[in-house]
Amino acid sequence: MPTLLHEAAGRLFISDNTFRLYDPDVMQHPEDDGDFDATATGLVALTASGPLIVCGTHLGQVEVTAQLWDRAPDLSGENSQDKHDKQDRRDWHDRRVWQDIAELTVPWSGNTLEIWGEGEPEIPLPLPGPGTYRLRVHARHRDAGEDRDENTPVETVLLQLWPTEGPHEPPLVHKADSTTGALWREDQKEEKEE
Amino acid sequence: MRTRNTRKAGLVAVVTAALLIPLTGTPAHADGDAGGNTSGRTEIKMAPVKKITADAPKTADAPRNDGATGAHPKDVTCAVNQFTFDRTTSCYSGTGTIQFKDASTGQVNGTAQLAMTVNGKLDPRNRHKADYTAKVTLSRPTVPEGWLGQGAVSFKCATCRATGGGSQLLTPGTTRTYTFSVDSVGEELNTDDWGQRLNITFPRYTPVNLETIAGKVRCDNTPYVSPQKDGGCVFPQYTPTWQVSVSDGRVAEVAWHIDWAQRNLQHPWGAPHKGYPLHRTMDPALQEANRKVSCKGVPKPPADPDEPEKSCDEYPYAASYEGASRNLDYSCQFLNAKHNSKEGSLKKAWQNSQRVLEEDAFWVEVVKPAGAVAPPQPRGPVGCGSS
Repeated sequence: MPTLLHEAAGRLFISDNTFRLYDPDVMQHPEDDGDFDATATGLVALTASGPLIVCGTHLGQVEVTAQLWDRAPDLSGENSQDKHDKQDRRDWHDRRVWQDIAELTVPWSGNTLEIWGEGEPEIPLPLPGPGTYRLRVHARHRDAGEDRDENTPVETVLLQLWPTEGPHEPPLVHKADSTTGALWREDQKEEKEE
Repeated sequence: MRTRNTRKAGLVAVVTAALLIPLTGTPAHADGDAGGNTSGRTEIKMAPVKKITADAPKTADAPRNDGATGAHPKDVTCAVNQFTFDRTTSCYSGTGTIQFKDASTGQVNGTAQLAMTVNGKLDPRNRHKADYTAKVTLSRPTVPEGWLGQGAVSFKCATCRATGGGSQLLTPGTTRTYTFSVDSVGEELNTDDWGQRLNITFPRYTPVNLETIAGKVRCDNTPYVSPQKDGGCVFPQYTPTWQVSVSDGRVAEVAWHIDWAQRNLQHPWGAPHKGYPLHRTMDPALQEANRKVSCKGVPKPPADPDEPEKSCDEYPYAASYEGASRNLDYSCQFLNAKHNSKEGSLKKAWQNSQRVLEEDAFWVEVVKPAGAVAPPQPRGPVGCGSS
């Protein structure tokens, strides 16, 4: 039965529709020029520095929760055990709550993962160690506008990580309902040739 | 006339032998000498050295991936009698003449030529590992003592620790190399002058002391810009240039918008060397205030199924102190949403690589082929802040 080992949450201030997962000993990798390719999932891209999440919000707040699991949690949540036993958080197991869900394989060379918006870190997540992880990203309220106010829902993202072994699995899209996701899944090859 | 032995070892022996002879009667001394007085003094006259910044490299010269946006500076090239620097590299080059003078009469007994260059390379991702290389060449001495100069190069700074340098015999015509590894100690943000001193001792003459022009170096451990544990250093007096290309399919619409804004607003914000640099901000409150003025409330054009999704782009950037909440001379345009996001992500990555910190200046250069014209837009840029 998959077990939730650690959870951290917070609000990030983001700019340019993106936030990043960094190894604090590397941060932006010297070979990372800021480009990213989110066409496989419309939600998450893998860069030289680590995963990058694309959002519908251009500049503003994003609510992020990060979880470390010992193995892949079930999407519907039927067979998962929440160590922290928070009844009021059970709805995040239910895939109906999310607009988009996708996952991909992430190699990681550090012991910590930090989630960074613009500026100071908000959310550190300790990992068991270097290795290969699977990252599942859930997002909702992606289409509520690139600029939001206090009356607009805050874009919400849930990140789940667990260690994996064996050959790298390709990216997988479990659910893709948002127009924001459709935008980022569009092939840019046509634009580059203009 | 003394015949010079072309083999260096033999030559040194001849010169050394000459030094055992009293100065009186030695051919290198022109007329009248003190006879038996063995002390002299040196003077060094260096050509004036100009301190200049290197210009940002042009598209054609900069090594880069094909079609990529962003500047990838090369090391500065050294020009004689200049101190040149960009964001992370510097070169000092000085030339001059050493005069060997009689201590009592001041008469010039002879001369030698001196050339010194120092290449500096800072690491914007590690403040503890800057590399400096000094090269010293002494040539054409006209007194025997000039063949036996011992040159020592040392590193000068207030808040750094340098290892390397050393002392070498300056055999005329031979370039001697001295290397340094420089550590900016601590984790505080500090600004310091880093220079070098050359000391040459000659037999029977006072030593020569030359100080190079120092470069102003700033080192810090600002989080987010790079791993906080290592920090990094730059030459802060150099304003780096963000280059955004109209030929780059990822960001072209933003590039054309900036091009329009720099040519049509009251001031050419960010255009290199035109007097209006931008200054970076990472402050969420300022960015939101800028964006609120430039983009909120501006009616979005109706979605066109034949056009990519649009988002509001503002210039000067919301992530700058010249953004709309502080400067009504701005432009906004609804353009390709992915271009908008990508340009911001690429720019931030470039700013971090150049250690452009809060309030640091940067230029914005639109790279476009000669004669290029913006493609027609369904809704062109407007000076949103202008009434």
